Amino acid sequence: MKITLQQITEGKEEVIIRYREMTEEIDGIIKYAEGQGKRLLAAKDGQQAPVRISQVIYAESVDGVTWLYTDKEVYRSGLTLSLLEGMYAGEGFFRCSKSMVINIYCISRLRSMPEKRIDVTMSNGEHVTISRHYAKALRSILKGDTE
Amino acid sequence: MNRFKRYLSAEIKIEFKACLYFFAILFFYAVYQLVQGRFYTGIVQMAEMILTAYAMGYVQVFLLGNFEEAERIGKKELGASLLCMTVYTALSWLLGWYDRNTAATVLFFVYLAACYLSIMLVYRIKRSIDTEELNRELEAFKNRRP
Repeated sequence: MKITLQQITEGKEEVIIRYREMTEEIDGIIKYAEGQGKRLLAAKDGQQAPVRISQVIYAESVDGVTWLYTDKEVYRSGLTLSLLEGMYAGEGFFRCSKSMVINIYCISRLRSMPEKRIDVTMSNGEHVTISRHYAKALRSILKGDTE
Repeated sequence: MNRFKRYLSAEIKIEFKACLYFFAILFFYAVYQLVQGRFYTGIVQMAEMILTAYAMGYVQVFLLGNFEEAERIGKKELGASLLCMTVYTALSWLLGWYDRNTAATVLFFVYLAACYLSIMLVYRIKRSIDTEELNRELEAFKNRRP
């Protein structure tokens, strides 16, 4: 496959895919491009801002308010954790406790703990302990049983 | 239902421990019997051993925080194992498993120490293998990303 890259100084970034037949490979590239670009609207300092899904390390619900944590910023989201989990499960969002959703793609390391719990180290160094109930679901997802 | 599941989960854990310690104690008892030139084990002694191990399973899970599975072997875990070893040894003396033979009783205490240490190490090794497996699966998951 021939790849042409073109650097632009102005205008919107775009990906053009020219194909003869829709193959699994092409479909994968499309999904990847879409996934990287998927954004959700959240608020920071009272201003609405689009946040890339792939940049959300985890989401936490505190007193009924959902907060999204990226590497450097914290955003307030109008979505509940259940909605985030449901909408972005395909992007790696996983409900790891009643008050938290983590992005599996932002996990740096997993550690098995007593009582079948799992200690998760996120890419920002944050540690999350997953209880046995949620750990079972995470194991299934990692194995590819359910996603 | 959740309460029942929690009870069942604890009960299975306790019974697993009871079997584990019962067989460990029975092995030592069988060796002791052989050394004494006896080639049999008493049903009453075996019943005492399994009941003791079962009761100790409850103590270990509910009172001592399931210390063998603890992440680190610290003072608390060593203290808990010392307490269990003392109770087992005291009961072996009271119930006359080793004919109240001092040398055999002391050896039994040392043997129990080795058993507890081995079990704690086995749990650590098991977790270490599980950690490796989890991280392998995590990498595979990330690589499956479309």
